[in-house]
Amino acid sequence: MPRPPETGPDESPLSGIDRLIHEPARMLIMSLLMVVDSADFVFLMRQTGLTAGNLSSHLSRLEEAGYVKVEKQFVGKKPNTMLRLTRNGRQAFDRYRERLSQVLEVQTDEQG
Amino acid sequence: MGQALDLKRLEKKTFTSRFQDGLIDLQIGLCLVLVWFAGFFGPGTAGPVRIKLVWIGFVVVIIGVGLLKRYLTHPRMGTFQAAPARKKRLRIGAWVLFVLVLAQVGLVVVQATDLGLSGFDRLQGAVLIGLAFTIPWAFFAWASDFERGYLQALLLGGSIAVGITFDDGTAFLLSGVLLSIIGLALFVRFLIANPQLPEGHDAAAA
Repeated sequence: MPRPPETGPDESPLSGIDRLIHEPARMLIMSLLMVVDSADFVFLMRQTGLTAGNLSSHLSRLEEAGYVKVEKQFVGKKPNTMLRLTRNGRQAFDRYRERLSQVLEVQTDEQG
Repeated sequence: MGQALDLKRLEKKTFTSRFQDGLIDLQIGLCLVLVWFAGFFGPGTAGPVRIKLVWIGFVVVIIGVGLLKRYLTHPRMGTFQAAPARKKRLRIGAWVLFVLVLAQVGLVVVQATDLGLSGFDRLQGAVLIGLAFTIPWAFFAWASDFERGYLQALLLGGSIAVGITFDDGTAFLLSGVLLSIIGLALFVRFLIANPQLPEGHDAAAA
């Protein structure tokens, strides 16, 4: 007779982790936007090392989730895209950090 | 992942990235070389034409660096607005700088009217004036978490103190050349690491 899993999917320590943020590139984007008021597309591209297409695709997902606000404007004659975290985005990232710390603490306690 | 979650460290790294192009080092370095060129210190006294040339030189350096920033390095590095906590720290820094500059002006007035510094010998006066330049710049470095700024503050104030003490401009030349080399090396490294972006790169934005 197969042994039942010790914890159900909802009780898994990772269940509270926001999977949208938990992707490395998106986590880096969110972290960078957490420590500034706003940043433009080029700045994020340089700081994350992502290509324009890749960054754009991650930003689209974060924007759809309501975590990032995208403002298109013109600086002189050149288009400029400014990005900032929404209040929702900041709260989600705080929750994500808190949850991840808890998970890591639990793992450390179990191993130690 | 560690650094991404250490937000304090990430904020510092992100904010100081605005100094990565080395232009601030180059600007101060070239200004110090100009002071040496003016011949304010040393046996040859600075003539009016030379002094005019130096003032023109200062303006050229300041405007030139400003243009390089605006048209060459900023489009490559992108821009950001600092977080409120950092802005607050910079505001405090600006107020302290303002008070220190007022103190500097007071120092000059006291010196000019011969009210209080007559009791100081040359070395004490030189150290005092050197500190009057070092402290504000070091404060700017603190407010910006800009570690190279402390070296700049030291070289700036140190050159002035040594220049006055020995009545010799060599310290300005040495400090200026050192800072210019650092600035130039950082500038070249920045241009190589951040090539110009193709037209319309921003169109890919979400």
